[in-house]
Amino acid sequence: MYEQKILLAGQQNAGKSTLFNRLTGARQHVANYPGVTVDKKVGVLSHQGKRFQLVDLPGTYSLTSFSLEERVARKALREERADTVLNILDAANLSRSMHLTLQLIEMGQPLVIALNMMDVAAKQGTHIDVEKLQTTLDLPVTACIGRTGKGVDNVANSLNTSRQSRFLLRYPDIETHIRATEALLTQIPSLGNKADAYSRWLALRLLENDQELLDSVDAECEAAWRASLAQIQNKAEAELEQSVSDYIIACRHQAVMHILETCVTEQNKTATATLSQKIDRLVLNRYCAPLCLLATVFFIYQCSIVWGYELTNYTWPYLASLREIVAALLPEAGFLHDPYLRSLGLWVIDSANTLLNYVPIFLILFALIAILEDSGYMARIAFIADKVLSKFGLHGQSTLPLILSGVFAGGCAVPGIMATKGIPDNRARMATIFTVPFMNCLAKVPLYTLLLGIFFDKNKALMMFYISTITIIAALLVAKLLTNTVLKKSETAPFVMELPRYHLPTLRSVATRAIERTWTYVRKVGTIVVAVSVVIFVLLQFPGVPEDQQAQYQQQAEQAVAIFQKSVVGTDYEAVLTQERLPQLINLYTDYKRAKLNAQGAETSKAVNATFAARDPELFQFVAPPRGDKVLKSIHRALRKLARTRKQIRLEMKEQQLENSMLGSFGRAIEPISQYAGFDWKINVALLSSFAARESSVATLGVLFQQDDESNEKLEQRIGGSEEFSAKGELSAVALILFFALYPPCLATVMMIRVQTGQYRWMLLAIALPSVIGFGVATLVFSLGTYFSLSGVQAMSGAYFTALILLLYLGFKRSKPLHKPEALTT
Amino acid sequence: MINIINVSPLSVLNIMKCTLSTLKPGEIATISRHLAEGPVRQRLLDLGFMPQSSIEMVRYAPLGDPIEVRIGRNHVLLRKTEANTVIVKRNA
Repeated sequence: MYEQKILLAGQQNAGKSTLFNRLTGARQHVANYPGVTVDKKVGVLSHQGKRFQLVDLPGTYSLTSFSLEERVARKALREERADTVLNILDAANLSRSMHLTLQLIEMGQPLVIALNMMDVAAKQGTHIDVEKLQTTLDLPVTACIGRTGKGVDNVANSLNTSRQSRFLLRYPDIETHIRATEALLTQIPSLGNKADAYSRWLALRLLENDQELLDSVDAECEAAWRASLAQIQNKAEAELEQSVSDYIIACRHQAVMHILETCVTEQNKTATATLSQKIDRLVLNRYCAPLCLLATVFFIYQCSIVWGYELTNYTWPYLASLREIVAALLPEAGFLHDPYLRSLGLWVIDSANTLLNYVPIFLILFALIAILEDSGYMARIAFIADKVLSKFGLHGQSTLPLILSGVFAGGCAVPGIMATKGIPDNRARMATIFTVPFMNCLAKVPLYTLLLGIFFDKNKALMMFYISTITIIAALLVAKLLTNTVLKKSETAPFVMELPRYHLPTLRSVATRAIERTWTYVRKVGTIVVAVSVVIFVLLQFPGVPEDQQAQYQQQAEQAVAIFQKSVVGTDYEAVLTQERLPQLINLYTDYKRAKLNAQGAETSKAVNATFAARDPELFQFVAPPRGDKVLKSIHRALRKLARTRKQIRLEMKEQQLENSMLGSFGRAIEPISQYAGFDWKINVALLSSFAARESSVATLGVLFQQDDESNEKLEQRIGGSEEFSAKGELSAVALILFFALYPPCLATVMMIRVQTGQYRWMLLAIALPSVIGFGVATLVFSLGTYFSLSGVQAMSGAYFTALILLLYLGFKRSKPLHKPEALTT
Repeated sequence: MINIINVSPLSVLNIMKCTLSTLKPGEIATISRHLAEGPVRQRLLDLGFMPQSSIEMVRYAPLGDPIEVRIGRNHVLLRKTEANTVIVKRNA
């Protein structure tokens, strides 16, 4: 049990999370505040033998009910009954931070104050008299530097000393009205009778016409009560000749100024340009800004996607060996039929490996993002890009999610959607969540490469350009569509934000954040994908191959075994190679072959030989016959042939199974509709299975377009030569590319959308909308293309420029202002 | 008496007064009042846009919107739609 509960309150950019991390270390977890998608970070601090539970409130400037963050913070302050509220102030920006402090005092919270960023304050010549501030505010105040950890111990020490301040902020012109409202409050059973410390605070909020509070008392009060409140409000406003809230803020501002005058001395009052301003002159310069932004994006892309992908070449062998370990633990493969446990186990570990393979990429990506966030450049990106994005209902801060999910062919929508957390405007955030999956994630690329290789070998570059830019066009158009329809009524926030100073990010903070986010990805996505891969497995396995077919395969297998037996009969090894040991032998052989393929260099190759020899010395002699032994050599040859025949039969069985499976029947069932887009059932199955993970689209196509005999054609040639594709090949390919570009997000993304939006209906929309749009576009392009007998490139160009013209039309059309026309009162 | 006129604020203001969004980079002005209500007004006041405080236009974004302004030591970014709600008086 925790002895004390502590809430961390402070404004954005005051270094709240840095201090939170310093105090709690790794002992923290992230949940949501009930009912909303605002992160609730909870951590544990053990200090001087006591255990404290720390809860990080959303960063806020005020405690009004205008924004979600403020409502959440306010609710937590009112309902969590904390032992201590730790208010963190930016020492270099006291005048701003102090507003929140005075509001917390007014609420009657048990407070301690931490002055953060004392180093920055000192550098800009601000000297704060901590003693004086302590007596003025009547609260314990400690100074610290969260970034380096200096003074954080003192902050921890002070947590026990919290108290309600006796500092009283007076509002001379409305004091009588405050008292009148307080008197009114006693009539509300849930509020007044308790005579809470914050009844003055409640009265002030009611005078301000705080909507949330009014709504909450509405249920309990009568019309007469509301009328008397309105009477007091009107009277106050008439006397003030301004709104009560303006007056309250003005009084508070005056009080803050007064406190600062007594406690703070500024050394160099003449405004010299700070380092941040000097950097911004270059970085935000009209001409340099786009270049800097492009350079940054390119750098991120290069480091995480390109180099990170190369890094996976080094990490993949570990995942492959993990698979081997699991394969060894599972029951052995049969000659024709594998035990379900084995196929399922391998299937699950393969799905998990596909995801884990991206871990190096994500570690780099998240570290770079943490650097961008900590340094303060992220806010500048929003500044540069906002104009274009806001035209289509997105937000300046949508840039990062879009980059992460692969604007330049290569990314992942999962971290992209996670990164939408930072967008303050809810409508734009939702629009971003729905458009991020349109970007070209890493897993879409193989299918593009495959199709381009088959059909558009000459126009590869042009087609790739079309593909990678049409997704951006589609994303912007869909964002516009959504913000004008389903998202029309969702809450927006004004684009007014502080431009933070530049900070040098610390290794510690960057590393913690990168690891923390990657872990979230692995945990959240991993578990879901594993669970769903089981479902897909079942859909692909059952009902299985029909019995007569089964018997046929069995017969083929028996024939192959008989041929093998012939080579053994009459040799010394007849007794060893019994019918029972045959599966073992053939498994040893295939395992050995695979291990040899994975082994790099002579050393490892030797080691593989040693391991397999140790596994079964008796059978190993057939797998790798010693030089010169003619009998063993001929058995080895027969074994090789048997293994090949077995592989062939198993492949055919697999295809049969796929065709018969539930997913296969579903693919066939929707063929009558999907043919309008040029998709046959094989494509349908590939697209359906790629919903679990995009990578599987090419793999499934590989199984579906099997090679017939011994011919060793590459998949490209097989698909290109197949009947389904040869007729209207290019157009089908274009339709398929367009559909795949607009295709619903993969399962992991869909689950992340559920987490980030907090509602299943949004998740369903995220699946349905792209399906409809994708299929509509594919059908349109295929039908029109067929009608006008266009070539593939012509059809693609047509689709591309239509979308582009639509985009430009919407972009240059003078949009109606989001805010109501400004009213001028005279 | 309160009249609500749905016309551009500029036409009824005297010549020295204008909206924040019309300042040129480097120009300094004094905030005289806010036209916005609700969240926008609250956020502006929270970020230090108090009437009578001095405000400097720092720069426009490369595409002309949003803008960056300075109040005291703080730099604030805002869209022109929001900046249009702030009436300022140019310092001579």
